[in-house]
Amino acid sequence: MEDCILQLHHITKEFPGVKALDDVNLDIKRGEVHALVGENGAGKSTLMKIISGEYTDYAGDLLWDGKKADFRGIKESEKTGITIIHQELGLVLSMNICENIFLGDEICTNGIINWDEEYLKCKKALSDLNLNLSPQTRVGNLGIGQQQLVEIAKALSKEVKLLILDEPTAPLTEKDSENLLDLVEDLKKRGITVIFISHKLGEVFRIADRITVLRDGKTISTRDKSDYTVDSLINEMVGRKLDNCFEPRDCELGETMLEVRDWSAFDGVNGKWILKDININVRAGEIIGLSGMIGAGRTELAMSIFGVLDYAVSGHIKLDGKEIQRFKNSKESIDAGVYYLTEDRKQYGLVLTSDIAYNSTLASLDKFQDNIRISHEREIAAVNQKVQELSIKTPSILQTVGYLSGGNQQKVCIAKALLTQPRVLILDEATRGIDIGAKTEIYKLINKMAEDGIAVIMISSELPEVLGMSDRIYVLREGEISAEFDNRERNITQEQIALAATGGMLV
Amino acid sequence: MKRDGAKIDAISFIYKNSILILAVAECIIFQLLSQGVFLTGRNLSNLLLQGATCSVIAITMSLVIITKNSDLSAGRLLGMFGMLAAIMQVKANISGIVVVVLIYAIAIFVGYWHGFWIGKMQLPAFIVTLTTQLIFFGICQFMSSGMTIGPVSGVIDVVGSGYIPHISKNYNDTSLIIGFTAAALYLFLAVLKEKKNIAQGLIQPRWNKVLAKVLLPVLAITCVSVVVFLNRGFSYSMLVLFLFTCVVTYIVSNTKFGRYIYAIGGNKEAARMSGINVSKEIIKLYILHTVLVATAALVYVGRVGNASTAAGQGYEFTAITGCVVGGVAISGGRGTVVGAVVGTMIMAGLDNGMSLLNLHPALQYIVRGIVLLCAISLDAVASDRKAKTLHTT
Repeated sequence: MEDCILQLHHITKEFPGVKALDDVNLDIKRGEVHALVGENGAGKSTLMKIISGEYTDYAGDLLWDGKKADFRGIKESEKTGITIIHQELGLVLSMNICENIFLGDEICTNGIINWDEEYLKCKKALSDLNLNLSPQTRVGNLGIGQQQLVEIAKALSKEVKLLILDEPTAPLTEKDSENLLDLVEDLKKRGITVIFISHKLGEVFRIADRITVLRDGKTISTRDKSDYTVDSLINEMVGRKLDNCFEPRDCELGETMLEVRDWSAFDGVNGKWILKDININVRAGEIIGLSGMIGAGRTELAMSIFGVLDYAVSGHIKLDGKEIQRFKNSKESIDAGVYYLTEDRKQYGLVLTSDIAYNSTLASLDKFQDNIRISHEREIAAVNQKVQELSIKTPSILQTVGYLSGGNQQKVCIAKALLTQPRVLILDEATRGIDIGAKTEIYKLINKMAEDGIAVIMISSELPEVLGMSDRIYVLREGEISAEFDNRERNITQEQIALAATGGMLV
Repeated sequence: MKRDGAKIDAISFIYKNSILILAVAECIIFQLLSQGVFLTGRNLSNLLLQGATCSVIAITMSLVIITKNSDLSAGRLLGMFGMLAAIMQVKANISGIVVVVLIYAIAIFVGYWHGFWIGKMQLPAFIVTLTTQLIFFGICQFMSSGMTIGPVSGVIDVVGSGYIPHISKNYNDTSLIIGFTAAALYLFLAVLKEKKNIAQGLIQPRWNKVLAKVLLPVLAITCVSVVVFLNRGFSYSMLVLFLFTCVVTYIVSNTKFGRYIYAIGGNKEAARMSGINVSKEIIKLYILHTVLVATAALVYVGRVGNASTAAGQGYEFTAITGCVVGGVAISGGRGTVVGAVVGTMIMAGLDNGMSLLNLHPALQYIVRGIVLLCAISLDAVASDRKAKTLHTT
């Protein structure tokens, strides 16, 4: 029997309608760096939330140091020595390093904070990480890489035994990533066990002792690093068959509708390129897939084309043969015929408290205006027609959209997009969070749009969807186009895409 | 389980009909306490005249609140506009109609000023208007040196304190005619609209429910016109209130601007992604709102006859409370102009009733504060319940 610090036996976790984890087994040996890999939505984050005690309603056993543990919250798991560092950092930017490190765990005597001791301990924690910073530095003034180190310092000050890093290098520059990987190796030498979640296979092969592959909520394999090759790892990550919900489509491609040249976006706060030198084009009637891991810059690319990205953007757009510098805001873009359908329909897409008719025409009211009055007759007729075309299930178009199902909400978003009569339609995760039946319907709708001559750009994390729908596929990695595939014969494989998306070739 | 369901129904019933319940409760309580003075035609006519000023502010205050902003400067702004108008007329001898035009020009500028900071620079509206109310108050004092200036004359005087002309000698019959015509017109248009909605399959044909919805306003308009008929008739200020309520209601339901107001309040990010220039719409809204405040100022100065530095103090509070009482959600995105106007009239009735009873001013403040708190918490409780209730379609 090996010395395991943490064992998970037969963990199953269900969300309404979805089995996020299905009989997962995982053993973490004391003192190892254990990498967890898998596609978007494979269940990695859910699993980590079970370990950290965020989710308490699951089936199966969690053994800590060989004893059954039942964490009832993050506080309890932290007390036993587990710390999880999320991709979105949990720091209060307006407070200084020391305040952050001891937040919720202040060193007090009779309710009065002992600042001297806090600063002393904080200094020690920082110097342990070779961080030459004053404890009184405001965290908001630090770069994202240093913020992450502060978070690790916070973990160390709590005498962590198991450190979970969830996509730690995703927001970091290359140099910061190097530092972090060095630090992880250093922590290992100090006897701290690390679970390392990453999309970047190069990093995984560099620091992991063992690797576990998750796919569709199941553990596929756990082996020593040396037993994997990049190819075999990717095979196990994606090894899925294509679903049969995609219909072949007559690819009658027109002229180039949208061309994006030398497109870059720079995040001045963190000094990081979000997009770099991107060149893409899409023809009328063509569906192109935009693939890549979460955080690769797909949504940012779409939003920057649409004119709503809050970073410095440079580059040129050519729409239907006409040179346009850039769209300054969404209005210009919609008026020109480029529409972006957001991935987060609740936050960015719909006014949930209003009805279907109201939401559907919100982006296209110009078309229903006589002088200054909105023609309700034409508006209602148009919405009714779209509701029928898209078969939105609702008793009336005056139904509040907040009460519709996810699939129907998405269709309202599509109706809203189509009413603007777009020439280029960018769909961002158009099938997220909706059931398989509604998905198939939406695929048909997208095919129909392309047949009607709309140039469609489809952003998706689901590889079968990208492969089954697109005529051409661009793969983004860390803000750059890493590959372009011609998929008119539908002959590109998931492995090819995954390789380009994770940069496995560079190992 | 059964009792729980009944409880939810009771609360949602109170919430849905809160305006009606409040109005009835107010009438009964003050009628009893004032020994029959509150519901006399004379007092009601007076109440409508006094309430008109705040209600005009409430017309667009409701829209400001719907976009999740606020205007705390409305009262002092009204004072400043009133003082400006009085000085122009009394000291500079400018004729009434020119004064009105000038005041509106200044109002557009002030509205743009507010809109610039709140819409363009995205500062919190309550801070911006809190600071500007100091400025307005200062300007008002500076111009008048603390003196009361009057009397105003011409069109301002007529609109503020005059009543519409009548044909017969003793009664204001034109008021009755106008009132009945308005009621009939409303009935006709409302029924027409419902019919159309049903024809287009938008709503189920449930005529008894529709009738209840339509008949209540008709009843209200008829009652009001009979009451004023038995007294001096409609004042011009009430016509102004009526006219602006109709115009703004029309704008809200029939123009892009109106749609965008609700979109910005309901989901600002979604509005931005739909191609709406949020800052521009906010600037437009504040310009419209300030024009309405200027209108209220002119009506006020006309009614009182002169301008003082104390004028308008606390009016923003009455208008905001009125909006909340009238069903405008502080959380944004929900509410109607008519609801806000009726709510403000109810608040004016509260003030009127408390004055009738000679209630100590300190107690009046306390009562008004409690009413606002109750109204807001009822709104919060109701939407919380709504969020927790499962909906089946």
